[in-house]
Amino acid sequence: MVDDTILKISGLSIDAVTTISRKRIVESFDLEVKRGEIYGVVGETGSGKSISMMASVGLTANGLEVSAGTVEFNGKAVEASRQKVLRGNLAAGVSLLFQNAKGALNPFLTVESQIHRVLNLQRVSKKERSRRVQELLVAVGLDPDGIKHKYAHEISGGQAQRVAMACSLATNPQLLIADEPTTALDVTTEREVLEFLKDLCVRRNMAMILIAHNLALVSENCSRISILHAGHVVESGDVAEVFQNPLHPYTQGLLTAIPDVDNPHELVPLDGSVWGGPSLVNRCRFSHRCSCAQDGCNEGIPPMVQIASNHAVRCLRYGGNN
Amino acid sequence: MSDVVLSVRNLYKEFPNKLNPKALRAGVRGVNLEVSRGEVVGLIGESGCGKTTLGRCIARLINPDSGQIIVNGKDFGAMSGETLRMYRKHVQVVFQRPETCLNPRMSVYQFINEAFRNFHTCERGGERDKIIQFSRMVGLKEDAVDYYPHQLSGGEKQRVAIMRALACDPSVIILDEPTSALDVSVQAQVLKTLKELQRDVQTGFLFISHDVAVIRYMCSRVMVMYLGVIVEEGPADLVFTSPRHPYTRALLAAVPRLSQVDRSADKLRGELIMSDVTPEVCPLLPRCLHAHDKCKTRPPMFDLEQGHRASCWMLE
Repeated sequence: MVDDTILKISGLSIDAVTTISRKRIVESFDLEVKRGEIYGVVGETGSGKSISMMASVGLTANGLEVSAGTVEFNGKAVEASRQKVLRGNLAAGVSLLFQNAKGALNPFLTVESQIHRVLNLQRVSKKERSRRVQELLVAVGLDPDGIKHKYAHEISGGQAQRVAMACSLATNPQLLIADEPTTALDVTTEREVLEFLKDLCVRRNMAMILIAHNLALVSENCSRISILHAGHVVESGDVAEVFQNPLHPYTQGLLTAIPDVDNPHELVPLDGSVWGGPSLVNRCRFSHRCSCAQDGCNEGIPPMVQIASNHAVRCLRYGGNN
Repeated sequence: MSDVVLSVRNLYKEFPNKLNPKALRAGVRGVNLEVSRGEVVGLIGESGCGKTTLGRCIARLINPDSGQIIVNGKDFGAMSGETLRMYRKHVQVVFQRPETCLNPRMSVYQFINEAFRNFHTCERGGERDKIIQFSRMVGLKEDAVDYYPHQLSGGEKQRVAIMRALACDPSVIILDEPTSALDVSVQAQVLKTLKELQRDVQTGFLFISHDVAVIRYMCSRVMVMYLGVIVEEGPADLVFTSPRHPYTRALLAAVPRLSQVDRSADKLRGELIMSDVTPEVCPLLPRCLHAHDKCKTRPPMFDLEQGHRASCWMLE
C-alpha cells in the first residue's frame, strides 16, 4: 500500500530552557499532512505555531529544546538536532517560506545569483543553471529578463515573495512550510500570491503547511486545520467541519471576536491573554479564559477527543475524563 | 453645520522622488474630508497610499504643502508657535505601536498627568480621580494606573495611549491603525472599548486602517484612498454593500472571509507600481480591467446618492 502521508508529527513537545528553569511551551503536538494537501496551522502570537513547525524540520532557536516526540518525513524519522540530516534528507524534500520576504533575500545578491545559490547546493551544472532560473521565475509568474538582474531593494514586496518562492521551489520540494507568507502584503496582492501557491500545489502535487493567524485566510485556502492555543492543539479537523461546527470554547470565541465584512455583528471579545494563566503544568491551558471551565480542567491535560472521523477537540466537555 | 469638528480642504503633501522628478509623488494629493462630533470616519487604503501621511498632516506632525485644516471652526493649519502648541490639545493621535509612544520611565499615572499639566484639562488635586475615571472608560483595571509600561500587555498599552488622548479633552482623535499590532482576541477587546467610547464622549474620530472588516465594524462613514487620492466615499452601508469604484470592489473582493463568496468578477492587474502612474491620469489606470481612453485624464468625484461619491469615469 502506498502511504500518502508526507509528514507525521506525534507527541512533539518543546521546552524553553534557561539555566534556572524549564518551561514546556509546546505540548504533545500531533500533525499528519498528506501528499498534495494544504494544511492550516492557526493561533495567536506566541501560541507556538511557528516554533513547533520549525522544530519538526530540525530548526530550533537558541534556548529551545525538543524534549519528546517523533517526526517522520516520507516514512523516515527526522532527528531534529542534526544539521547533516537537514542538508541531506530534508533539504531535498522540504522548503520554507517566511513572512518577511525582503529579509529572506540577500541584499548583496541579484535575484539570479540568489537562485543560483540554491541550485549550487544541488550541484546543478552551469549550463543547466540558467535554464532552471528562467524556468523557476516563469513558474512563479515573474518576467525573468526584467527581474533577473535586480537587487532585493529594487523589487516590490509581492515580487520579493515570489522570488523567495522561486528559491523554495528550486529544490523541487514535496512539502512547503509557509510561515505567514502574506502577512506583510496588501490584501489584493495577498490573494494573488495565495491563489498562486494553491495552484502550484496542485500542479506539482506538493503539500503545503500554511501557518497563519488569520482564520478567514486559512478557511479559504486549506483543507484541514489545527488551532493552537498556548502550545496545545485545541481543535483540529476538516476546515468546513471545524468552522461550521466549532466545539472548543477558544474556537467559538475566536469566531465571534473577528469582525465580518459582509454582516457586521457585535464583537464578543475573549478575556485575558494566551499565556495569562496561573501555571502551565498539567492543566487545560485555556481554562483561565474559558467561561465554562470546571474543576476538572485544572487537573491534568484534557486528551484530544475524536468527535468524528474528521474532527477532534481537546476539551473535557466532550468526554475523555482521565 | 456647527457640529463639524474637523474639516480638511484640498490638502496636499507630496514627497518628490529626487531620482526621477517626473514620477508620481508619494503622499496626499488634494484630499477633502469632514468629521462631525461623535462620528467615526474610516479611512481605508493599502500600504503606501498616504493614509498615515494624511493623519500626520491633520495633527500637524508634518506640515502640509498646501490646503486648509479647520478644527472647531479655527484654521489649525495656519497656526504657529504657542497658539499652535496650545491648540494641539484639540487634535490627538493614537498610533499603531503603543509601546513606542509610552515613556518607559513613567508610570501610567505620571504619563496621563503630563497631558493634564500641559493643557490644564484637570484642576490640581483631582488628577487621580479623573485618571481612574478614564481607566474605567477604556477598560483598564484600576491597579494598572500605577504600573510602568513593561508591566502592561500590548492591549493594555494601547488603552493607555487612548486614555492619554482622551485626557487632553480633544475635539478629534486620529486613530492610526490602533489595533493592527494586536492579536484577534485583544483586537476585539480594544475595538469594543473604542465603540463604547464613541457613544460616551462627544469627540470625532478618524479611524485609519488597512483592515476592511475593522473599518466596517467601527465606522458610520468611510473613505477609500488609493495613491494619495480619495477614490470613493460615503455611508459605510452603501460603500460596503454596493461599491462603485473598481478599486473598492477589488479591495472588498480580496478580503479573506469565513463564508464563501464569488469574487471572480472584481480583480485588478498586478500590484501597485508607482512609476507606472503619472499625476494627470486616473491612479488606477495601469491596474484597472475596465480602463479605456478617457481614463487618461483624472476623473472628478461623481455624486451618486445619499452622500455616496466615487471617482471613476464609468459613473459619469
